[in-house]
Amino acid sequence: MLQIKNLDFSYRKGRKLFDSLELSLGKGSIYGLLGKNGAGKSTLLKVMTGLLYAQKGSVDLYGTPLGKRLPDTLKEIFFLPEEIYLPDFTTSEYIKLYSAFYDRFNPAQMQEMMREFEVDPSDRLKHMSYGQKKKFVIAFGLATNCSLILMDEPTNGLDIPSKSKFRKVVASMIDENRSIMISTHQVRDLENLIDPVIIIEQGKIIFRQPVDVIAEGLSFHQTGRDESAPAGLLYSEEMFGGSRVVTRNTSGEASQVDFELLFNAVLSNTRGINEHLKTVQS
Amino acid sequence: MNQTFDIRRSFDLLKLNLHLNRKSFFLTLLGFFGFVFITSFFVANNVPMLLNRMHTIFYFILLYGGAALMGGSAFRILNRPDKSIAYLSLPASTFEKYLIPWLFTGIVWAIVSMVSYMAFALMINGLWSGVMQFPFTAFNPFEICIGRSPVYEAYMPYFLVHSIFFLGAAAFRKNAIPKTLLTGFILQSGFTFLNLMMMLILFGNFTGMDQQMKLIEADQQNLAYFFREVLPQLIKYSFAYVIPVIFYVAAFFKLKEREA
Repeated sequence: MLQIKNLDFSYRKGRKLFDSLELSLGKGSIYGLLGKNGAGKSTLLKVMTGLLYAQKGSVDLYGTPLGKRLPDTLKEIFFLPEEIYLPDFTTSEYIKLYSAFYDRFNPAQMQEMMREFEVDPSDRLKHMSYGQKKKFVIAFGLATNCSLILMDEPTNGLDIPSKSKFRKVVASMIDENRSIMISTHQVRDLENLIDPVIIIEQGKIIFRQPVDVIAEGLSFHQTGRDESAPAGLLYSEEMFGGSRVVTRNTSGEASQVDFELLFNAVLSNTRGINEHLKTVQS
Repeated sequence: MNQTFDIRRSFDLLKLNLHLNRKSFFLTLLGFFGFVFITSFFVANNVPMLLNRMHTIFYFILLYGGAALMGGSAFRILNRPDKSIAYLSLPASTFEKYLIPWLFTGIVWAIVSMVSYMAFALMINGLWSGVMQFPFTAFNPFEICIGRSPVYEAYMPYFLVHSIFFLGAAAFRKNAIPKTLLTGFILQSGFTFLNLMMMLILFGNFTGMDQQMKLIEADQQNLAYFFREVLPQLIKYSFAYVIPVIFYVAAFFKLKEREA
C-alpha cells in the first residue's frame, strides 16, 4: 500500500534526519512506530502524508507519489497530528463540512464512536477540553474509512478510561482494507494493540517485527538483586530491588511482551536482538 | 474525478472557507461601516455637500484596503503548524486550495465591498437628508471621477494591489502584510536607485537632464513620441494586467511548495 524508498530528508543542510530510509506498509495492521524524542517519528508521518517533501527518494501510496498531494491520494490518508486544530464550529458543522471531502465517511460510525468516547454532540468544539477535542478528531479520522490512518501521540491528553476506550475503538475499526500507524513514546498505552512494532532511531528503521515473533523469540522478566544473570541474556536494566531483563525465549511458549523493556533493549542491543529474532523466524 | 479541478470539491472547499472566515469577515465590515456611519453624521451635519466625496474616499479605502487586508491574509490558515496540517492534508488539489482564497479575497471581496457600500451609502444619505433636511443625492461608485481620468482607471490597480498581497500571503509564513509592505518598499527603493544610476550613466548629472532630453526629443521625433505617449501607457497597462498575472502565478507555485 505505502512504499518509502531510499528517503533522504533534512530540515537543515548537512544534517540528515533520514538517510536512505526504506519502509513499506501493507493493509490490515496497526503499526506501532516507536522512537526517542527527536528520532523523526512525527517528521516521518508528515512525509508519509505529503506534508513535507522528501529531498531524495520516493514516498508512494498505491504507486502515486504523495508529494503531488493529489485529492484521490489525500482521500486515502488521514493524519492526526499531536497538536490538533479545530475551528470554532459545532460538531455537526465540522462533520458536515469536512466529511464532504471523504467519499467513504460513515456518519453512523461517527455517532457510535462519539457515544463510545462520551463526546457531547451538542458542544461547540471551541468549548471542549483538549482530551474531548482529541477524541472527536480520532472518531472523525476513523469514520473517514481512509486506507491509512496516521496518528501522532494519540493518547496524549486522554484520561485513563479514554485510553482504554481508544484501544477498544481502534481495535474494532481495523480490517483488511485499512491500516493504522500509531506513533508514540507512551508504549504502555498501546500494549495489546500494536502489531507489528517499528522502532526508529537516528533516521533509520532499526527494528521491525510482528508481535508474535517477538513473543516467541524473547522473554521479558524481572530478577532479584542477588540472582545471577539468566541464560540467554540480551539486555538488562537496573530497577529498584533487582533488574528487568530480556532473554532468549527457550520455553517454547509465547511470552508476554513488555513494550517498554523491548524498546530499551532494542536501542541498546539492536544487532543482538535483531539477529536472534532472525534465527527465530527462520 | 479530475485531480486538478472538480466543481463539487471546489464548492465544498468554498463552503468550508466561508464558514472559517465568516466571523472575521462580517466583524471587519461591521466595524468599518460603524466608523463610516459616525463620520457621515458629522459631515452631513456640517457640510452635506461633501457627503458623496466622503463616500468616494471611504469606498476606495474599503475596496483597496480590503483587497490588501484580505489578500494578505488569504493563507493565514497556513501560518500555524496545526492549522496548516489540517488545510494541506485536506483532499483537494493545490489549484483548488489556491483558487478558492483567490476568488474569496479578490472577486467576492470586490463585489461585496461595491454592493455593500452602495447600499450603505444609499441608506445613510437617505437617513441624513431626511433628518437634516438637505437634498438627497445617491452615491454611485461607477460615476466616480478622479481628476480627468475615466472611471475605469480608478479600478485598474485593484488586481495589482490584490496580487501583491496575495503573493505575500503565499510566500511569507508569518506577518505576511507587514512583510509584503517592507518587501515592496525595499524593491521600490532599489528600483529608484537603479533609475538614478541609469540617469547618471546616460546624462552625467541630474542638473541639465531636462534640457538634454528636450534636445534629444527635438532631434528624434519618434523617440519623443515613444517616451511621452507609448511608454507611460505600456507601463500603466503592464502594471494593471501583466504584473498581477505574474504575481498570481508566482503565488500558486509558492503555495505548492508550502510544507506543514
